Amino acid sequence: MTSPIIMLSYRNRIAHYFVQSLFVVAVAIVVICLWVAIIWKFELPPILLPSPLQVLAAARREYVALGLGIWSTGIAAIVGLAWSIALGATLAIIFSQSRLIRRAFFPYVIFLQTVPIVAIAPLLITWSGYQFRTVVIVTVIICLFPIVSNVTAGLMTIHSELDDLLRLYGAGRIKRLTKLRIPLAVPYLVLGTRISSGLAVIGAIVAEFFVGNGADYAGLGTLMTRWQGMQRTDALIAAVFASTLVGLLLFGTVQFISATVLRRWTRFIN
Amino acid sequence: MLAASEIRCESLALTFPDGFQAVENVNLRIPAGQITSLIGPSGCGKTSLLRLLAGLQLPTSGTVSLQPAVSASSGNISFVFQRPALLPWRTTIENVLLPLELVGGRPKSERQQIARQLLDDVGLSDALSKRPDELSGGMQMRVSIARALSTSPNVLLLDEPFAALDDMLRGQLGELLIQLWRKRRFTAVIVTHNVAEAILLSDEIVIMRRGRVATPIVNPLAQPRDGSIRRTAEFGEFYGVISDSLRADS
Amino acid sequence: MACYKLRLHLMHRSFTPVMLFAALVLGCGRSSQNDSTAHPLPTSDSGEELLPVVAQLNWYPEAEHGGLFQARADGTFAASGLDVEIRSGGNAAPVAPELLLGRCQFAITNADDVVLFRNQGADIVAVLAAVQDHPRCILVRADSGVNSFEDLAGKTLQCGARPFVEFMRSKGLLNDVREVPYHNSVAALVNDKDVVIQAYSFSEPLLAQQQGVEVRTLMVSDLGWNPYSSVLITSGDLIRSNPDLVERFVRATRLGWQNYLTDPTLGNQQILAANRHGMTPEALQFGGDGLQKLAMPNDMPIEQVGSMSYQRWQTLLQQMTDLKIIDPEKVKASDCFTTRFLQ
Repeated sequence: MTSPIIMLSYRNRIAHYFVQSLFVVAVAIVVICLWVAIIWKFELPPILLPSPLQVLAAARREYVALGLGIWSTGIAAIVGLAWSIALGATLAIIFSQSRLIRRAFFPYVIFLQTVPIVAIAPLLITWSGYQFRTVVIVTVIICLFPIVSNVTAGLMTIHSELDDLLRLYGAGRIKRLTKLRIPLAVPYLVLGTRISSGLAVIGAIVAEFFVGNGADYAGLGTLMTRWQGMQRTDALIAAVFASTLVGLLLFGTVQFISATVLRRWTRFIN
Repeated sequence: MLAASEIRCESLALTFPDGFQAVENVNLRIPAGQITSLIGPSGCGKTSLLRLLAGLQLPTSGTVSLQPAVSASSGNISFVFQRPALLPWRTTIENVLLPLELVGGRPKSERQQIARQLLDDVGLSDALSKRPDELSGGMQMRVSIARALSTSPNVLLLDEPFAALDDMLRGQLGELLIQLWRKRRFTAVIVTHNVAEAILLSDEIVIMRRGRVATPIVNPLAQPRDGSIRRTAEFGEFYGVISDSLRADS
Repeated sequence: MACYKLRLHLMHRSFTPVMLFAALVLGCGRSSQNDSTAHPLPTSDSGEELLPVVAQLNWYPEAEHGGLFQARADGTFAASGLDVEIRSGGNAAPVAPELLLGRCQFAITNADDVVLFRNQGADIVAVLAAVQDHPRCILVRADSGVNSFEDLAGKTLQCGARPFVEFMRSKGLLNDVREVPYHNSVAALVNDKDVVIQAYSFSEPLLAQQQGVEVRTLMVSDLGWNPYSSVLITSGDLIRSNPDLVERFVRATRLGWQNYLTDPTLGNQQILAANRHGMTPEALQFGGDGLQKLAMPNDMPIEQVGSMSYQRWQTLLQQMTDLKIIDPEKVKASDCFTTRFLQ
């Protein structure tokens, strides 16, 4: 009975996405034209700003290194993000249960966000060594705050009628948490994770500046350092694009999981 | 399944921390197996009194007791809120099953059977696996009522349940409530500020003003009362009595 | 605070732009870097107007920039009709872009960077090479058991991604060495005798000694990797459009270097004034002493300070070609430098 309507809205949605992606492509074309125009107008040498074609050529020349870099950095970002979610959600649940704990510890979570990672990275390396684990730790430090703060906000949101409903049937703290507050906080978790998915890539790359040197661990941050040292602006820009690609992939994955596995809990906010 | 309890309030009072006296010295007996309306102007303490009856709020002094006595947390008292208050990630039937899950005690198959029967009774057999955002406001309210009845409560408390609906739906849901009540004969207390609704639905009407209740007024109009009763002289007369009482010394 | 500390150290020659990016991204506050120095001499002794010129350093002011500071301090620049502003470099000093954009007329860098710039199509030309033997070394602790490059196996080397590392790798010297990034600090070396770091022979050894650690240096130049250092560069455009200015500046700088290597007192005063937070008289003294040998190796007469040879540039180019970090089609040794202003 309802299927024609669903079909129609489905078609509308496809058309909507098509129009939307046209705009995205249009913006990209404008940016590339501007890019080329600036080089042409100011006669910039490639060391200042290589042309899109030169960047493309550098990417093709270095595709093996870039591919491995995307893989290494992507895995580090994903593992870091996963830890952030696990840790962040657990902390948020603890925070939501006690005002005292929240008051006592929340400032330190904020501290985590304000800590200049560039400054403490050498310390982290002293403690954890030049390895994948250190990259993950840096990523977690950067990703944790948006998740903790969003999920805590989600868990603390007052839904008095729903809370009364559960209390009426004798649900205690834990039952109200599992049956009500956690499901209601899922959209907040998605929101926090969405923010952190971009940060995860930044975290992993910054950590790679400190950890990787190409021999043991070669992420995009390592490649950027190397190409920077060799004055290879074209390859450097290619690596920057590769890192945005990782960020987009991660963001897209979060969106996809939100719209499929978690759809049950996120649908009503979309 | 035909159990119903009488509700007794003795010297019941509720003062909020800011000093506001929401309920003052209420002594009230709400008869078992009847529908009683609690009517009064906004801010008179109706909802607070209802929450005291539900045990969602502890009184500052006085007592609420049920006769026969039943444990509140085992689903013997149910509540229908102003808004449907459905869990948005649960389907219709999962929402109706929620109180049974929380109260426990029945095997899964029996719970399913109860929920299906109730959803059939409220006319939502087709919508078992829909989610709240796919239902209209009236349908959501039906789910909410079915959910409240899932534990076969002795007492059903309704806090302006139809206030957000248009007149048409209001009438339909009122009739639905009566049907359900006939079948189950629970004690019902409906908070409303709509006099006509109170007359149509209830056997007794309690007028509440500034935290205090007046003596219950027995509805002289015989059951069954349907919409057509509005045109009778008796309805008009009783409507006048209630309206006058509401206005008196205000 | 730790960011500030990064500034204090006066070492490392790589890795910095990336660090700046990181600092920007992560909000590590950083005060302005270009604390350009004062202009003490607005007019020459004869009273004629001076031509303003900007020279960009590749690092915070230190002994390797001594010639420029000396020439300004003792009036050599002014006598050449030049009012020279010396801009401090530091983390992320983009000398080639600054030159190409005309924000400065001269800059200091290393010879291998000149080759890399030209490989990227930047018309940058070396006009004077103050330091003949490159100060690049691997710094090891005296108790590390490392006496030669062959002993590095099993150690952890903190180094940047620079051509000299590729050179060492090509010699098979890094096969069993764990390469990790350099953190602009001798701390790791001080803490762990199995850590060795990249260094400049006239700078970090003193810092390690001041922290109570005896050290040894392995000079990378001994391996055959020896690009000129403290190289004065300018743009090909300026050489073509205003050779007179370039000639005056190069002559004055060369004289500045000769004076500095004879008596660095005046130059050092200005370096200290320009780098109050990162430089100490002891470090300058140590740096100046180290520079003597590097600027005038093999009893080179002081008149020849700053000179360059085609042979040296050609060797460097060949090495970098062999390392596959440049395209020999794009860079010619004869384009990298000119000695016409040194005659």
